[in-house]
Amino acid sequence: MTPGALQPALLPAPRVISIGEFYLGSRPERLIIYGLGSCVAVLLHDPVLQASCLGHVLLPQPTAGRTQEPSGRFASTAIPQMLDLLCRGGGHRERIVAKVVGGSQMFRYERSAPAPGIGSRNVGAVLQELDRLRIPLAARDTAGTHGRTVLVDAGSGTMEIRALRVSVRLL
Amino acid sequence: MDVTTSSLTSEDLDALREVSNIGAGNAASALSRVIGDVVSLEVPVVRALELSEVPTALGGVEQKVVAIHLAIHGDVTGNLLITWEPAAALSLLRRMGLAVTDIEDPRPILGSALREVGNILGSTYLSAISRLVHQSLIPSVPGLAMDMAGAIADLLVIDLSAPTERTLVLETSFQEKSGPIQGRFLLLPDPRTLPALVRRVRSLP
Repeated sequence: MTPGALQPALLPAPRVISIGEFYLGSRPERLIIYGLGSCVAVLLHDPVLQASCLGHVLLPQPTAGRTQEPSGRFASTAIPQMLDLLCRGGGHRERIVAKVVGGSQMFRYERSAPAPGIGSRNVGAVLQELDRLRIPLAARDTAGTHGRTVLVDAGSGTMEIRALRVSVRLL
Repeated sequence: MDVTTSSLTSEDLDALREVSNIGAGNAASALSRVIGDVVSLEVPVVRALELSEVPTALGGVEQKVVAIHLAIHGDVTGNLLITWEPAAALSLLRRMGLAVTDIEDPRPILGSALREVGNILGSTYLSAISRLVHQSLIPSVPGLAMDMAGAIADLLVIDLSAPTERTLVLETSFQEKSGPIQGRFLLLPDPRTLPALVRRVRSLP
């Protein structure tokens, strides 16, 4: 027996998904988004395939002059591509469910603006796109005024959400 | 003129530091009137950081920071963030005469006090720059956040089309009798108005 065999199996570090990226992972991969503020983490998961596609979106949709940007930055363009990626990887549309995290209003103003902030507009756009694609929403942890770090176990689709003032939550 | 924050030369950065220095000096004397103590300002270090580097520069992506946001309107548009580590924000509040031992203290007056300090520092800073470059930089009402550096930095990315855009980070340290209060100014000119700002800065004597 080699000495290494006595060591507990070390999990590789989770893969970081930055703003505008999406990534398809499967067991035993773990994916992470650090410090999610007004951005939204979108997870598409196929429980039979035991695989998940995690996206990190910044804005609802590309506005005029911003159509050349990476499509992963926008809810309306990222989610169809994520669905396509998961299906091409063996996912079945009728099994795929979604989880949505983030969309906070990070800054508080003295006389708070009546207009909805970018965080809630992001969440609205994500839910609308999921609805349009008929992907059921399995869970969500959205809005609020706090930042979140989201660790995803790609195989099970479990999301572990950490925040500074809120205890760890599993979705 | 095709100028992005990534194409700034070291001469440009020196000039922007000089401009910021004057702005921050004015901000320091404004702060000394508020906290009633002699405040001087150490020469700020100016760095042009990629946005992905900002959370690390603020102490770490999950590190708690106190941040004031001022949107900038006028000839030059963009965003200004003023940040402190929680301990520095706490000493700032105490030196304003507020009895506070925990930065999470929920009393609204503490948030108002921090917003007001941010407002004074930010407005003074922007108006000094405005006078130097003969462009208007008008601050919005201040917003306050106290959370993970990474989550706060989302705000800076929203208006930017290129992920490689850079922000100017001015390290400041307000030195006063009972010790330093360290803070940072992050100035992020809108890419559309940056050329005008740099052109003005380049033409300064």
